[in-house]
Amino acid sequence: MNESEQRDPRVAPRDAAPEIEPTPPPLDSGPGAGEQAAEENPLTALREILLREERRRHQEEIRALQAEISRLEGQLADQDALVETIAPILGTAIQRQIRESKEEMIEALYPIIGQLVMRAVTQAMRDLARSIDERLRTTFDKESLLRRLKAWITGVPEAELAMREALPFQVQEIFLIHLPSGLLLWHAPQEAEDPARSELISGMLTAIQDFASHALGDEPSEERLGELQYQERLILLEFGARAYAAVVVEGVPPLDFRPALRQAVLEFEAENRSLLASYQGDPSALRGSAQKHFQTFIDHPASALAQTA
Amino acid sequence: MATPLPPVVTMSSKVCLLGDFAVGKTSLVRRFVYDLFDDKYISTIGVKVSRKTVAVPQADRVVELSLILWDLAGGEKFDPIQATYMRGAAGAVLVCDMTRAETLDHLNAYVADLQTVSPAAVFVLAANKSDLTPWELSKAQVEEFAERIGASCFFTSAKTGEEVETLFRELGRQLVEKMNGSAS
Repeated sequence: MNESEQRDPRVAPRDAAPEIEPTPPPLDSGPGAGEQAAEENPLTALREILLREERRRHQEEIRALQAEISRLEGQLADQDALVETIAPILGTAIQRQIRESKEEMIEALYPIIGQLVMRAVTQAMRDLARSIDERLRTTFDKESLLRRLKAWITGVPEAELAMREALPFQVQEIFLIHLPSGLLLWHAPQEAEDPARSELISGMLTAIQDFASHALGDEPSEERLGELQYQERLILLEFGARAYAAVVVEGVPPLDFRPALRQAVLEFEAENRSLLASYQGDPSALRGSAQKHFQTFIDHPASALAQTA
Repeated sequence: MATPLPPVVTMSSKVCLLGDFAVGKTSLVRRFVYDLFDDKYISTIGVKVSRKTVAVPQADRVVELSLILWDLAGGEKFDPIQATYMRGAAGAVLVCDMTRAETLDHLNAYVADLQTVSPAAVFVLAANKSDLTPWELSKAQVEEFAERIGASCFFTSAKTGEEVETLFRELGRQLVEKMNGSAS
């Protein structure tokens, strides 16, 4: 073998065994054997033709899915984007979880909420104790003497009375309203008052009262709303025949607050019966009487209760 | 020497806005009143309260009259709660729609309802949407209706504001006159 023949891979080496052509199967070796070989290449070609479109579609879907996966991976890596995606459904998910797995939620949240509540209660108790201390230390003022007398008469320990008095309670606003029309007769406190606001609140309170009577009462003219609560504020409603008082308070009203308020409404009505019966919209004639009966609830609530006791 | 200003007296009156659904009661007042509450109360509890102030000059004083407007929801059927909302009203603005003839006829029922609870109520009639065409009502029809119920009549447009202030000033004047008549 010369050099060129050695290097050329197309040329078989002289000492290599000669290639043997595959012999065709004998004609009598079986019914499908000969056909199988003849059909193999055409089947592959047919399969390729039939599945070409489907394979192309699958590849496109795979590419799209890969792009989506990359996008999601990017989003997961970006915290801000992840928060923005999850936030809208978080509330609903928590509600559902609370509904379906109440006990587990309580177990999970209890350590945190418990501490928060304890902290708030501790602070409130501290403030209450400080307030009680101050009251008990003033030995000879009028209020403490009155409290001792009350304790002696009622049999309730003075410390308990002092605690009750120390619970926070504040009268923030009083609206005196003409019952049939909802017109404002008098309002306190008057500093920085917006008369429009007060008049509209009076009107809407009356409308709400009318609505509640119709919706919930058997005899609309007889049943009345007693109070409205909004967060830590309460609106107490006390009715006479032609006027009612709506008092906005914060805290826990003393037990005798509502009777005192009712008494004030009745006395105000008794004093102004004919004016209220023919009321046309001029509140000036009623101002003095309203101030006399109701201003004290704003300025000195304790005195207002003592007066009617 | 400068003329002293007349004393200003503050008063208030409850006024109901009455009329069918979509005649423009709420739109009529929206631009001209002091609003504190959302219109949604009209569809939820059936009423919304707003306020309009008019100055009514008198011989010896100026009356600053607050019109406390109770905008009642208009509907096809009578709702008993509407009678309750009308209690204590000194007057009413009756609103019809010039492009819907039936809205004028229906005002008869509102007039009757208000007079049941407030017999001495004062009325003014707002023939609203007068800027739109074509009118289904004629001027003569509206004026005849107004005369029959003893009301002043105004061809108003909530869109352009035409005649709205005039309507409220006239209502205020009539209410103060009524108060003066009762006082004397």
